[in-house]
Amino acid sequence: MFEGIVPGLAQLFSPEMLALVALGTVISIVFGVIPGLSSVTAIALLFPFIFGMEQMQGIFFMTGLLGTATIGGSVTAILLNIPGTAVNTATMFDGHPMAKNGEAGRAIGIAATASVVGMIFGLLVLILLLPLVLKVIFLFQPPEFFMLIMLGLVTVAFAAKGNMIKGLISAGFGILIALIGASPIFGIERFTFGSQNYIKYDSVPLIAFFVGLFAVREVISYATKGGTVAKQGERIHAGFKGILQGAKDVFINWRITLQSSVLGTIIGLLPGVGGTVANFLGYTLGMQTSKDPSRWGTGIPEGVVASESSNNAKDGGALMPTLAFGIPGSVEMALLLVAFTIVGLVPGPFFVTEHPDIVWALIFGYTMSAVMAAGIVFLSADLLARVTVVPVKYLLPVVLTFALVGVYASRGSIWDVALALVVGLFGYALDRLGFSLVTMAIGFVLGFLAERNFTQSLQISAGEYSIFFTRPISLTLFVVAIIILVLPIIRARMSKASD
Amino acid sequence: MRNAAIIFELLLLAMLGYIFFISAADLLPRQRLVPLIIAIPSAVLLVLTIAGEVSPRLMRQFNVSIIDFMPSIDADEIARMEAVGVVDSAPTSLATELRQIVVVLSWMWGFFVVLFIFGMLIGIPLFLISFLLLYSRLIWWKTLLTTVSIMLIIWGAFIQILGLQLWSGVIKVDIGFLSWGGEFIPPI
Repeated sequence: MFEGIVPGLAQLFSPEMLALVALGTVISIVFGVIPGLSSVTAIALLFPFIFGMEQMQGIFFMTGLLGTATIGGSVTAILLNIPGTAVNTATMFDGHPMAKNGEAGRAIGIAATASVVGMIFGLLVLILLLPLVLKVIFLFQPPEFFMLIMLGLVTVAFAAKGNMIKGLISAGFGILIALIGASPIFGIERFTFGSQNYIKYDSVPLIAFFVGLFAVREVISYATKGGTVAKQGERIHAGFKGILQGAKDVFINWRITLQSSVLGTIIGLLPGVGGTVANFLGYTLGMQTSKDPSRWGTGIPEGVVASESSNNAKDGGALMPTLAFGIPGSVEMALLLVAFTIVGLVPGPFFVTEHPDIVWALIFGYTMSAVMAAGIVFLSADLLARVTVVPVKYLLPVVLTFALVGVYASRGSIWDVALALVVGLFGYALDRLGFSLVTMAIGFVLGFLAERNFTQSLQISAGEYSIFFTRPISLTLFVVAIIILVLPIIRARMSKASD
Repeated sequence: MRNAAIIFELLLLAMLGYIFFISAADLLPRQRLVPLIIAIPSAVLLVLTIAGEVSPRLMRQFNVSIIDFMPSIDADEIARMEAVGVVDSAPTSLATELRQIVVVLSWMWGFFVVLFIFGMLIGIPLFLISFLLLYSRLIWWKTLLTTVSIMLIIWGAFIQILGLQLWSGVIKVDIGFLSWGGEFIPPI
């Protein structure tokens, strides 16, 4: 794996790749500061451009897009008391009071530096753990992979907010939608209803599906909510005063930085839990371990350090199952796998050994993107805060136009545009009625992999289903999945008994 | 909202039944095995969800998340955080929401029809100008500025960088030396 360090680093430091990381970073930050939009929307809109890129170009562009929306989101949390993304919420608790006390620059300095430190910490853990995981990965055969996919989906359904059953249904639908179209395993077309040119020769188009789910749905959602993006809150100017002091604060409070980064990385490893929990847990843990918890929430640097280092450290953890097993634990990681597919890479257990240069390109790209994002935030915090007050009704047609042109660009099919609109409405209804879009997206990405591993398992065992329950790892994964499934019932019984 | 949820879930169940059970009947057993392995539990869970809509007590048991098992975490607080979005939205009734959905869908599908017939170079500015003037109530010069800016970005990013040939519409137009449209309609 380590043989990829030099090629990965050499690729990054070419002007072209640096420009792509910078472009992705700027776009991601802008999407991050607009409440309601996120890097997921940005990636969905920009997939067509990744189509036109070479492998390394696409990877570096993705690293810029993926890792930095949270840094942008911290700016509005501090200056406007409105988190740009949900994962910046705890940053408001101390960030905005600091800004009110005339320490806006210092708070932004802390947020940006803590984000970079948290990100680098998460990536270092990834670098340390990946070789260990690779030793275990060869014990995984198709039955184990099938069970791992099932366990991943069950865990995501459990971790996603709301109703677990609805989360599982979404995952099921995601897998089933992925099975529509041509099946390379059996060499047939399934569930196409005689479609001549649409899904018959392919599966449901990835770009149309994801743009529909994460961009068109967002437009419908915005239209029904109405209003402007940011009216609430009191806008405070940042300036440059105190930025350096903020950067120092992160290292002065090294214990909180370290503890939040460790926590964030662990949260990132858990499928589906996500940055919001990391952000909130990092803040809560910081407060609980503080000598004077009563000061938290009044505008102290420690609060911003705790929340911002934890929500950025999770990215390193989240990359682990994605790179090692090809199984994503979040929408962002699912989109990364889609990007891999677009640039001709096959995610899976051999990915790290076959493409060490790509793994290192990701690690260096993430790091560079975080550093660039910090620089951008230092220099343009006031400008970024202004983006937030753009009225929603002006954003709607712009997002919709780019979404639909982008879908058309991906395959040159006008029917893909119609499909994105249908998926957008379907996604809106699902989201509105409490079905998890995260599990649906992950199920969609894993659908083909699940079928392939299941079929291969039965080929190995000559059709015996017992293969899934007689191998130790596969059985263990199955048992863990069952335990997670019955947890709600146990919990309900326990709370009933305690009542 | 409960009735809307039940109707939607019944619709999902019907879709599941038709696509993955009835239409799978013609496939060989091994070809429909995985779809059925996923579709059957999904259908069972959907029935359970519909039952849960009727009897909310049953459903509450499954309103559980990993957060509930973490110490010092308030699941409601997390849910509140996750809801971060358009901040000044006022709660609306289902009827109002449905009306808003119909309005925005009309715009979207209207946009698609215009694109389909007249092509992107005409359809996009037509949609942007009409949407920004009529729906967003933006003043005319800002509307024009926004439209021109977006068309320039599309020209630069999609036509120049990606080399994309934009959909030119199904209608063939010949005005002097200007000629566009007449796209072949691909089969669905």
